[in-house]
Amino acid sequence: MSYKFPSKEWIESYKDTLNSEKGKPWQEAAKTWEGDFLFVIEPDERLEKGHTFYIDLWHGECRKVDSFEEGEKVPESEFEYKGTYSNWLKVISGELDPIKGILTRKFTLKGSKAKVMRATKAAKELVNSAQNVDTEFF
Amino acid sequence: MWYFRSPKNIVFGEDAISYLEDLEGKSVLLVTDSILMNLEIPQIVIKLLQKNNMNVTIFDEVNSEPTINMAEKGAKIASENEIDWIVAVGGGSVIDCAKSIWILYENPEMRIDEVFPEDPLPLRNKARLIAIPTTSGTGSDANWAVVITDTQTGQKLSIGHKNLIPDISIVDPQFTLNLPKHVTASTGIDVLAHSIEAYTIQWRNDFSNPFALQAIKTVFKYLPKAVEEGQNLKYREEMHNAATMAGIAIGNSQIGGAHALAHSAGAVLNINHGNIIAVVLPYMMRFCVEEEEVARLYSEIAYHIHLSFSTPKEGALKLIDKTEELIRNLGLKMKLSDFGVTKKQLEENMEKMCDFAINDTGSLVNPRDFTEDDIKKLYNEMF
Ligand SMILES: [Fe+2]
Repeated sequence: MSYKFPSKEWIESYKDTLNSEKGKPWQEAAKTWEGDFLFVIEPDERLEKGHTFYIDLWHGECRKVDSFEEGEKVPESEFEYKGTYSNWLKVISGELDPIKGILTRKFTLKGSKAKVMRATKAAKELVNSAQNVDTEFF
Repeated sequence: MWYFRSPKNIVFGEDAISYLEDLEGKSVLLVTDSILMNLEIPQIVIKLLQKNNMNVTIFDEVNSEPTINMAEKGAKIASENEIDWIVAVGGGSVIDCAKSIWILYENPEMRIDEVFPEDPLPLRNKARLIAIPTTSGTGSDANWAVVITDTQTGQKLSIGHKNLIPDISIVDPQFTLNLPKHVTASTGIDVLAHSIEAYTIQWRNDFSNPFALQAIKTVFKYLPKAVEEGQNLKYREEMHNAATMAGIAIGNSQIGGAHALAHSAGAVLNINHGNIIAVVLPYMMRFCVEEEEVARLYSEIAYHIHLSFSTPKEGALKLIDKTEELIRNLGLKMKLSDFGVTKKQLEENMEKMCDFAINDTGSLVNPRDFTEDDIKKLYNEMF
């Protein structure tokens, strides 16, 4: 079954993926990770309205996810990874490395850099895990 | 989209240091270590700077791999003396420490571990940086990377920012003439590790590849000669240039798994970088060669160093054998136990080493992805 990106069903499936066998690279790297993320998908010519996912992570487990449409109130979160819809598609299809995304300014990362720099692989695998979701694009 | 970055000026070859004769400025912080001071190597630089009426303050406390505490101390001294040039004279530790001092001197409110690529990092408002490497290894004189130890956790942090590339790199072989054989050998293998990783990493690219390849060819040809005949300026120059070229190569691609495992084991088991990388490199190469694409790339390297083979896999394996042979012939240690590490010590530290290694920036784009089990297996093999 494939899920539309972005949608509530998609982020639920992403959560299942993180917690499954497929999520093992992330689970191993994020063993001591404590901190929640927002994935912000900015609108562009291919997506009319922005979308935000909330992802709560704790010691290699994804405990909770949530999905917000543009205009809805989004919870506070420790980290935010933000890029346009087109760039998110590139990450999900494996075309763009999520770290290269930051280095080429296609994505921005907000939050404690000191914490991320001690968990670079965990951060990368977190975003890369989106590749494991069976995604249907708008 | 990607970038190619290097120092604005790389002055290399015999007498490159004379470049300093025309340097303008008022106050220099010279960062070095006390061993070099005793060998009177930084004094060559100090004399040239003082001839230009520059005030020189010496910070010679980089006697181990750099720590955040060390950088804080250096930055304080820089502030007290209102310096406008930081001149690093030393190996990778000294240059990385100088970069860290620079960050804190220009941004007293900042924490080093907050440096993040593409975030603002104001530099050059107070001072500029000159790197004068005295070992042929690190390549830090030519790139944006800093490896620094967090004294609180013992983790080696790799940070990087494009603004951290030194303004000027002076690659003068005279500074390496008296390096002891084992230092020449271990730092030379670090050059090989940088260039082999840069050439095979997922971020390899058309601009970094030629630098990597040239450095690899030079190491195989000249490292044994430079170790054997240390006073030969030609051999020293070849290796010195190769180190900077390999530094450019990794600076524009990335380090890989050999460095991830070496940073981690080096920090936890207290083994210096050149020595530990010589242990890790062949094991990581044997791990990576299982990927068909890596075998192909290794065979390209094998071709360039004139090994004969009939299939890419054969060429790749010959390259690994050749690398091992080089390390062995240079007299470097090839097992963790050679450093006095015991099985018990390895087992006690295994979890910490795996944790550090997996989240090292060298693990991000290794040509073959690895799991914690793979890392454990590799460390056990290295024992
Ligand atoms: Fe290295």
